[in-house]
Amino acid sequence: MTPGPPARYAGGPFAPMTPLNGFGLGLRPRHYRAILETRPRIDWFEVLSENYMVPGGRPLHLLDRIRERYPMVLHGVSLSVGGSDPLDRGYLRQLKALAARVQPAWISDHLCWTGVAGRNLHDLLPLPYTEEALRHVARRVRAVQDFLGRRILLENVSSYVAYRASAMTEWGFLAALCREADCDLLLDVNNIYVSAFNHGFDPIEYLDGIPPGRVRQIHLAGHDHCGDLIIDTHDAKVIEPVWRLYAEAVRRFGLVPTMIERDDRIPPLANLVRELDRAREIAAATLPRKAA
Amino acid sequence: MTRLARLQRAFQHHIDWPGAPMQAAVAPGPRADASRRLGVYAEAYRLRLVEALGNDYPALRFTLGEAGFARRMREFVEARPSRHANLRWYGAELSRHLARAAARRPLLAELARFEWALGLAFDAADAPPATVADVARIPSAGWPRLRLRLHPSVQRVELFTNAPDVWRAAVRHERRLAARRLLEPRSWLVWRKDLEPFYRALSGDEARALAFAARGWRFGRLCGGLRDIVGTDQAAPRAASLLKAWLNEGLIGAIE
Repeated sequence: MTPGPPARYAGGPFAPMTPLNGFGLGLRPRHYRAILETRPRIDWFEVLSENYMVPGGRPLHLLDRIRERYPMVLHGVSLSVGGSDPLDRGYLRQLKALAARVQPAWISDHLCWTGVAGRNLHDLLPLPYTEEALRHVARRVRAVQDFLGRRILLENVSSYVAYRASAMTEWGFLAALCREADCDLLLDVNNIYVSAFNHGFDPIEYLDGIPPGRVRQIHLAGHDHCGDLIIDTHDAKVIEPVWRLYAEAVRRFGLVPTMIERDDRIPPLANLVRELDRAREIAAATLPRKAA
Repeated sequence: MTRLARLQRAFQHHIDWPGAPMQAAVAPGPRADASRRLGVYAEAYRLRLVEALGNDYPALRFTLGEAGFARRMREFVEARPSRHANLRWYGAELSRHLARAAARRPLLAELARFEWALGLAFDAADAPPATVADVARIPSAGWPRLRLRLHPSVQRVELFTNAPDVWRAAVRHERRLAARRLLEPRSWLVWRKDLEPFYRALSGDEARALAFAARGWRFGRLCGGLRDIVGTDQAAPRAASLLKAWLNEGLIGAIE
């Protein structure tokens, strides 16, 4: 994986990220036993940070046991890096403590806001893509990175609204944010597909606008097609058009660590391992074979 | 206030009050109008919180039925917006809310309180439990000065209904048990041992003794407190037998 383009941000420097390769799954409690008993062929797990921001007990005990066997990355939903309330220092302290315990290859959250005036709507709400928002988010990403002592990854969210105030595309915003804040990207290919349908943009144009050196991880997921909108439910298999878009992403960004994210109607682990094999096959078929 | 902050406040207000003006800030989509697009967020907000409450309160959900539970929880969501970074803690105030909102059905608030206590025990802080062998190493002359630190998962819950029985019937047997009000409140102990939450009823003197220990009383003073309840002759043997039982059950996190 090549390093990102030169950044204007003078913070850091941060230690290089731990290398992580291959194909992972989101760690879900339903699969704890199967993971420990069958040692499935999964290269790494993505852990939902908030699920383990608890004092102790079974969740942390099992997290430690699985961590002994598999590399992990942390993925949060409450950073609200685009929010207009001050950053939640208590949350950041908990995140840093969890990272010290898990030693993740990296930490990610979403390009979104989750509430204002002290509220948390527990949703990933879209930002207007304006210069003002860019400066605001970049400043906060830098503050988070300085606090955590490491570069973070931000994920593109699925969205159902776009704002009249937006002056740039989402991919243009992400590219500018990577430059301004020296952060990296978790590219959710399903979210690109969902938002492309909901807002009427070309997902290929989106991929073309993403700086390749910044994409450190890829998410794949299923969704719910409601006719007039696609809702990002993470409760179904990855559909064919998303697999095709994934192949386009691999063509542009190379063999980036890729995982399937399933949050609802979670099937047995073996089913997800089989679905993950599809990602392996597509990546292998898409990448040029190395000369012997 | 910045334009971004104003936009976010308007959006949040629209989620709380879906009729509130916000559509003008939203660009038209290719297939769905602004109202429909915004409505996804307003509905998802409520569904997500109700779903999280359902995970934290399975017996309450079973007792109320899906529709009844959703109605009660939506009332809670409207009354108590989340201020927690972590959804794990959102349901903390549900019992207090139900005590007012469902005052004529006290079982509901007590069932919620009991389930929340079990949840707290589930992921309370870890502490290696003290054992009988730890105490045996201490010379008997030093016992009166011992201070027992309860395991972080230990909670005492006083209930005026048969909520623990209703919980057990719902979770273990998927059976609805009729609510029953007690003439006298009953004390329950909730804690975690070997990663599993447990509960059991407490006798009157044990409940008092645990309360003394929770206050940090030394063992000698704890015996003195028991003297008023079980009599002078029985205080020391009763305290010793309680201590042994607590150690065996993993209720003591440390002995100082």
